[in-house]
Amino acid sequence: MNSIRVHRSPPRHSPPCFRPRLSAAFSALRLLAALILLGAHGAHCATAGERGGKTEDRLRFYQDHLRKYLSILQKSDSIKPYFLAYRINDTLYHSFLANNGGVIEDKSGASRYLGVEARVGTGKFDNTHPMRENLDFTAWDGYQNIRLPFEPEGKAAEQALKVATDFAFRAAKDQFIKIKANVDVRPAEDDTGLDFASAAPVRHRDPPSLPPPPRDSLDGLYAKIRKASLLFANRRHLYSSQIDFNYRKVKKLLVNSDGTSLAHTETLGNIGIYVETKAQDGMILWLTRDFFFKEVPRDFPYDTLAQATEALLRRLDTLRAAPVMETYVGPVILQNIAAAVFTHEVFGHRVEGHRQKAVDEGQTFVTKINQGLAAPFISILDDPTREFAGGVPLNGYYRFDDEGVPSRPTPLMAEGVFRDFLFSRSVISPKGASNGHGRGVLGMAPTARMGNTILQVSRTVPASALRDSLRALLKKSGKPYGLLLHDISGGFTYTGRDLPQSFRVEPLYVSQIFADGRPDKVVRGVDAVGTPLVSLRQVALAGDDPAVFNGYCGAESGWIPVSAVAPSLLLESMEFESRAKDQNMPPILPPPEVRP
Amino acid sequence: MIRLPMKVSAMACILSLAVMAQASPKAKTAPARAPGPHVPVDVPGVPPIQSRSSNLSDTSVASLEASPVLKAMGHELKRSMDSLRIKGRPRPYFLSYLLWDVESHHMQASLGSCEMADDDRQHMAEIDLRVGGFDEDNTNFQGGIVFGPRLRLPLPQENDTNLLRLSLWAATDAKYKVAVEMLAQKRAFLANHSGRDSLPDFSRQKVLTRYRAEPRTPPDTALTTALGRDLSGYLAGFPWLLESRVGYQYYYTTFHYVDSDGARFIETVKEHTLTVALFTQAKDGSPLWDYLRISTRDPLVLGQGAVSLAALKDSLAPLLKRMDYLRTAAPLANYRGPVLFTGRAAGELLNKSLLAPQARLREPAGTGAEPNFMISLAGRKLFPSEVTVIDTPSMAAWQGRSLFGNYVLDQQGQPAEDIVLVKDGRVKDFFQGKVPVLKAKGHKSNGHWRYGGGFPGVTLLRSSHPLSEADLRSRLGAMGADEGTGYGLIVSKVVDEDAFKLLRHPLAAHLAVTDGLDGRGSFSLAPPCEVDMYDSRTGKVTPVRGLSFPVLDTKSLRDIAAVGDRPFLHEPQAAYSVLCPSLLFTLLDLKGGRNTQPRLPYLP
Repeated sequence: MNSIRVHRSPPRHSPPCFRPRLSAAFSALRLLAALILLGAHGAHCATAGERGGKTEDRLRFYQDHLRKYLSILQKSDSIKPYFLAYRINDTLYHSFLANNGGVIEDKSGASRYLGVEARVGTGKFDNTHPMRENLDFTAWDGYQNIRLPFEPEGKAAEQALKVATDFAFRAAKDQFIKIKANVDVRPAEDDTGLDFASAAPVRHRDPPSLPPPPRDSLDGLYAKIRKASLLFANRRHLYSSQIDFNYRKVKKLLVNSDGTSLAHTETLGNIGIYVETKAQDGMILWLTRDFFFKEVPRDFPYDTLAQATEALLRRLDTLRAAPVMETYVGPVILQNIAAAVFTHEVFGHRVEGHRQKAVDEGQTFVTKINQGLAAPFISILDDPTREFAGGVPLNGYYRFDDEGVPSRPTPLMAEGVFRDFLFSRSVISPKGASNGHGRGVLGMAPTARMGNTILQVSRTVPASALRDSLRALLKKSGKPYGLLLHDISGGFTYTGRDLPQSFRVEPLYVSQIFADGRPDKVVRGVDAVGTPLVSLRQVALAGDDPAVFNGYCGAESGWIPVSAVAPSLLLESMEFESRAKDQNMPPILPPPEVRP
Repeated sequence: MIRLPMKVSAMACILSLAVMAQASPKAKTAPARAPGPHVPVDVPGVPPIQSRSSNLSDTSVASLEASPVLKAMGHELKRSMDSLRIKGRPRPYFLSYLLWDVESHHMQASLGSCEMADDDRQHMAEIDLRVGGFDEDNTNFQGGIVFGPRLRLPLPQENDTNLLRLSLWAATDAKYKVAVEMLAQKRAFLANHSGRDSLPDFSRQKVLTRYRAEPRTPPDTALTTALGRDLSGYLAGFPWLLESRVGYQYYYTTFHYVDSDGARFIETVKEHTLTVALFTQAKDGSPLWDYLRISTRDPLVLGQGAVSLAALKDSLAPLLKRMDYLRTAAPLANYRGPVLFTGRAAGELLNKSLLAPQARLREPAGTGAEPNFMISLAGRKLFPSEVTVIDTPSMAAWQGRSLFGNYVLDQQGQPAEDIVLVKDGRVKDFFQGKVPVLKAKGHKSNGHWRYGGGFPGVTLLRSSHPLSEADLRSRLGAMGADEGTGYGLIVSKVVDEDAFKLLRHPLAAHLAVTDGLDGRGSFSLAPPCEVDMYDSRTGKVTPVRGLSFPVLDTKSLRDIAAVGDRPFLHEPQAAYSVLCPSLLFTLLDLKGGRNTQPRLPYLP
């Protein structure tokens, strides 16, 4: 897949807000992610005393079976597995959706899923090597995302493990036979790297942590959410709205044949507000606001929720009445969150290491090591070890990646000079190694992905001064106005060679800043587009107001939580194109009256 | 996860205590009486019906009037009928809402461990909105796709009337806009094509109201889980099984219905189903599976009688023995010869050949439209002259158990009628709702519109010259000898969709292969999972494997040489009931297995 998307909110149980904007493929990915990440089913059959099982016993169970099965498989066929890994995710979750004071959904539960990775060949060349122009209808899919009982591992888990291992091996063997032939009949590759670099085995257990609060203890918080959602009631032009609460605590177990044995926990939660309307010309307009947290904020202030809701509704009214803007090229201010997504799309995806191996990838930066790509006051690093930025929890925080490699800060650009790529264990040089960025949802092979992508600047101006600089640029170029992107929904980028190496950032709220000092005017109907090498060089100034974009990023290895941090940026030039417009009128009748 | 209650599962209706006719706003209708429960006298071996009336709760106009859900649906319906319009375009002339409120419990267990024990509640709404008029409206047309408004608001988990109205509002708006464009598409098509049928698109029928709420009988979840653990733990003692799973599901569905003619009803249906699915591979790699399924409208008293652990083990014993034998038995090659369908397989054959094709009887206008072959057989011979098939939704029970196919009002609010589908081998009638399908004046629904089309209730097949099971087998043997095979085949079970869903093994997908598509008089049967060879000379019965059905033709039904005297109950998807005796075919083809099969497991 060469098209990659980031969104500001996690996959939701009821995604009315995103359905119109996602392609079928991405919708499927979102659904898959929702199933995997949110722990789709509740499993209440285990008694309190036996839930889960003891970590050490569980790890031993998987290690013992891994050794046993690997040994059998290595003797059973002329093509032998050289690597085997088991990933097991236990998810405990709460999910709540409210609208107009009523409850759309209130669910809690627990689930356990298994993923198996088998590799045949060698670390230099194995079954995961990129295949060229070969469409195969006899491929084995393997057997992934297997649901296991949420109780200490017994015969059922053993049986599932056996079948999953067997079929992971079959799939790997199948791929390996084909990829060897593919390589032999195709032109020589430039790639001198390794399909699977060695990594030191890691042994780690997080200390025991408290389970999520019981559902009953959330009554107070849910009541506040319901009450706040009553603010949506009886608004003539508000067509879709909800406030949702999501919390999940995922205990991740990983064992592999290198000797890694890991047990660590990741928690993520958010309260999200969503409002949607439709302009008279059919354009769907929506806004969101999210509050992220690591521990359930049972005392979350109602006033905060109510004020955020009211503010969104006011903005939505403004937006509905706003004129549609024509296409534009010229100076623009990306307010901090928009700048963070810009960094993610324009730069981040193109420095994912595995993209430098596949011949159908654009490989934009593969020859750019130690070359200047941006202004010298800009540095970019990806640092999954950061849990918070400015007190805001970061979605992209993790201690170990999904290949069991410890995460670490990775400088990608220093003072405008490109330095390095993000790597999983798939690397582009014979001596390369993972830098702890192998990530993927359960059941999908981890690939190099971002965690917390942070744009740092050595020279700043007050954020308010960016406006003055923008006006100066306008005067210089004779343009009547520039643009300010306040907020964005996300964006996507193409990294493949078969399509232009372009990106799109989708603003939610844009205003025009006039050269003559008139008050700003809100406009709608445009998306920012561009190509990476040109756009990075357009950054002229940075503000002193770094902020966090928390979202979910969808690519080959599924939808994973990510963050991007950046200050507001002034770009000398950026292109805006007209946004696709829904060809349906607003609803004929007003929404039904809500009777509290 | 949102599990859409798409499956037509907990769909059973209990006989009503009363049906209240109301004056239609447009046509005065005399009060109608619901047909009373009865036992069709022509079904051999059917004991007296046990009336379920005593278990039912009250039924009254007051209950209907008091329903806040129905009231909310009614408000939104009236608002739409009164005000939904686009300048210069037709207004809706008919609108109905059918709201499903599905409460469920699912349990799954394998090898002694409980994998899932989950309560759930979901809502789903079906909206029938029509613009134009009874003679010509936006339906019965297969044209292009109209991409209408995408605003969809989720239905709430509980019966929150504000959110229900909101969701209906958004969905109705979308339906209306699509309907207007679809009507234009249809009219444009008809303007340039000749030969349209003379049937109206819709009809006005009786306007009834009804309230019927069964008591909830949720299972004791501790008991279901314990049984799941114990029974699946027992199956762990058969290590050659590659997968085994025990499932339990309970559905309690409340249907709320209102339409713009004034019909309203609330009806509940229930299902309790225990399923055991077994899967393995034969020595050549071909997949083998079997299942046990006990599905009733009545509560299953777990731990007792047929659903005690001991009884379930006894029921599984022959299945396990058969599978174990078949693992090492040689597969059968392509077969042509006599075949006896018995047990659930006979009911499934009747289902696929006669009942399922009636889901869409009306031939739509449009370039891609295909006429339904079944409708062209009206008055024609389909079965041998000895065969009669009736559908009696009024039949409440059989051999002391409530039938899923028993209901009083269909899902267009029309009273269910007992009808004769086939008499003396000739097609006499069809499942009909308010959409006319026959070119006859004065179309009248016979109350068989459920789950979006013509749908069975309780279907019974009988013969005027039935044979005993022993005689059927004897004839099968003789036919086999005459054919030169030296044996005949007995098919008693085919793949069951519900049981199949319990399987997760990656090779299980190989079981789901069914040849071809239904249509133009042909039909498909899922692969059989219980087939036996009946030796012509000795009468010995031996399990065989590796066979599947090619696409079958309804012409084959004329090859039914004999019919049994004892009906077997088959209740597909716990939604309707088929009582069909064994059917002996003179000549049928079955395909042998493929030459290549998935290899056996690497890991023992």
